[in-house]
Amino acid sequence: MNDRELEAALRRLGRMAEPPVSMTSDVMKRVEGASAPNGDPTLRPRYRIHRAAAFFVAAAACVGAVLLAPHAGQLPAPRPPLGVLPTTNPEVPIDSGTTPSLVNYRRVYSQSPEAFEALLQQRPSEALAPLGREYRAADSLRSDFNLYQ
Amino acid sequence: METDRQLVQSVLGGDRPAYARLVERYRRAVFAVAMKVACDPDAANDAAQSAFVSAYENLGRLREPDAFGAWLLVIARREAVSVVRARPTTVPLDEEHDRGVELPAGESVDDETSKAVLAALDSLPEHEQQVVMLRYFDARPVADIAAMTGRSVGTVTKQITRALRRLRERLQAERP
Repeated sequence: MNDRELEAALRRLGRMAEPPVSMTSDVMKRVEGASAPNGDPTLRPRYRIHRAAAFFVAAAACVGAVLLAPHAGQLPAPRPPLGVLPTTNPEVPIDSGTTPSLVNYRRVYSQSPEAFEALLQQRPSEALAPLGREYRAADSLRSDFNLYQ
Repeated sequence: METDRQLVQSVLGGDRPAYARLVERYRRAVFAVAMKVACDPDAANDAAQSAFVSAYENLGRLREPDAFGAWLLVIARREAVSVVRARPTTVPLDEEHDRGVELPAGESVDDETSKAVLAALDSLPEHEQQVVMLRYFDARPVADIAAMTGRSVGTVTKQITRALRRLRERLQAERP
């Protein structure tokens, strides 16, 4: 069979397989009742991106709800106080019954020189006397304070 | 002349009447494919209509609008097979039966040549089937086919030439 014979056979087949004239109108009637075609294929990547973004937002919201739920209604624990800073001149009992340290003497002196004198008179000289020698503690401390002031 | 791509995009844009132009363009080719499988005009008509409706509903999934025709022929074949399988009478799917193809006008085609040409046509790739059917069943000029499919005239001419060569080779191979 050459090309001419083949083409003639094809044309004959085409004439024989003639569809009904009403096919187009019948199809369009069925199309009217059919669902609309899917959206523009060029938009599908964006649709997929939007759908993926919505999924992740929903997933993040669920995770956040799960994490926060046990702590719901609870107030955060109050912070411990940072600590009370001592005042510049804290009151120190003059007579604590123990041998006052140099810091205590300085505190008392800063409060009032008269209180300092009283503290000095109250302290026994033996507590401050090294090696048994008599020691005028009041005079020594007074001179020391004069040096350090 | 509007290309298949333009019509498809119009339909997807909401222009439903544009689909009627696509139906008119491919109704003969789709009917021919359905007839080849169903061997019955009523069944072929049902299958062809179902193919058009299915193609309409899934038009958004067509990645390449220029391939609408070839894609439609695949759907038409599948719909025809479904229609035949759903029929209560046991009619073989292939065309090798004594009844032949009955036409609405009462004519029947029993000649072996037509049967052989139909079988050979079915063995062609989808895009070659499309251009052969548009050229010989629809009697469309090559330039119109090129415009419809978005291809060049040279490409369509080559496809038709290649398809005819394949048909000849297939017919020679089938000849006892």
